[in-house]
Amino acid sequence: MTLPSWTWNTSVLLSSSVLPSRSAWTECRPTACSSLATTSWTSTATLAWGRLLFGIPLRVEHPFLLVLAVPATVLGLGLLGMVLASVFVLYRHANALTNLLEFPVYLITGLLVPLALLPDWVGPLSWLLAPTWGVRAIRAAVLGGEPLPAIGACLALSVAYLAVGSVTLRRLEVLARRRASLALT
Amino acid sequence: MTFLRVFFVGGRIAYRALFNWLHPTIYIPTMLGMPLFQILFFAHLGRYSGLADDAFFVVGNAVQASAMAGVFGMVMTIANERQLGTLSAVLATPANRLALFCGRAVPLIANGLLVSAFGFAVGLLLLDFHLRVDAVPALAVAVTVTAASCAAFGLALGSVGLRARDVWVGSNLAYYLMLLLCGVNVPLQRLPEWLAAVGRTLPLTHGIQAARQLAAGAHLSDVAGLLGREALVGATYAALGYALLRLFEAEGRRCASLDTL
Repeated sequence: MTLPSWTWNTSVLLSSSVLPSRSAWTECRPTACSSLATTSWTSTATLAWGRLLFGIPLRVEHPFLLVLAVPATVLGLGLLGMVLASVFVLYRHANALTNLLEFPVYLITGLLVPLALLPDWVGPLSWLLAPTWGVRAIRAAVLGGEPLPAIGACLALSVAYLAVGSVTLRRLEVLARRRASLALT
Repeated sequence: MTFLRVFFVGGRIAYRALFNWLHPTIYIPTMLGMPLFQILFFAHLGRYSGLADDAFFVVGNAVQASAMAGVFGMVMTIANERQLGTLSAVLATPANRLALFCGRAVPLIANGLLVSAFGFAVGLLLLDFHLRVDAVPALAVAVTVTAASCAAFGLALGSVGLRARDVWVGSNLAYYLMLLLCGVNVPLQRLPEWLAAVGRTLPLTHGIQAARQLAAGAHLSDVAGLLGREALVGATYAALGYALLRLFEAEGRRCASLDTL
């Protein structure tokens, strides 16, 4: 569960909304960079804990491709977050919804459970999510296989998210201004 | 009479404030949506890993959902007072502290029962889980004891909110530790012995064991020992929480640090 910090979030949102118009990428870039750094660190630390404390073997088939796959996945996750964030501008209790999405994302992206075990309708939905391809790429890089197509799909979806997020973030911000709902905590 | 008024009315008002006056847009995703997807996720993960059947995960996660209500609810009811700047006003009153803080646990226990019931319903409707109707009252007793025990644990964690500036890191950590160590999704026998030993000192562990046995057909008398241990763990945390509250209140008054954020 993430921390409840509605007031802080809204203050940031409100202050960013009074700034001169900037692209969504410019607004989200600092967060994206910090997320990339944090996620890379936590992933590395998790692998290290697993190896050191529990003796989990670590053998990477394609180390160089893994170095490509991990940032591509984090980028995909971050830009998916940007698309969601643009919708959350209109929603007062975005934190609650963010927490709610944690387990569905684990399930639908095939992170821990193969998609073949889930209902058929989940498959097409998962293809639209960049993390699905990112996870496949990381698996292929670690276990052996061909990670490049999955990395490509992950990056292509990331670009699409950026395009969608840029439009929706700006439009929904305008809508929120019109409704005067930004400062509602 | 004043004790009862503070206990029940104060608890009810604090509970409504906890969920921003019980707004469905925050209550439904937090208290119903999260357990729903958590149960589905772990049940599917269990099917894939072959660790256990759906019943194992439905019971574990449905009971654990009451822990989420109790632990986070108690932490938030206490820590929010400080965050929102109302702590000094609360502590300036001569109200009995036991009634003041323990009263806040009652709606959370009731809420935990409701959330757990929802979790069991999810299992019955969406997964391969079956429950005899005559097992429901005993299961309700087990969940109530567990929810009370978890609320006591939340009281102990929340009491730190009178002293520490940030209690969320600790409560989040405790929550995930409970998910790992209390036998919710991983049987205690599968954990290293030292981790299982830590799990046995936490609330939820014995309550889940009791609930699993009840769901499998045991009688309430068969799990009385487990429920007794769960209640004992809860009582210990409640005593610890109350002692820490009084200690940190006295410290906060002495150092004038109650509203320091």
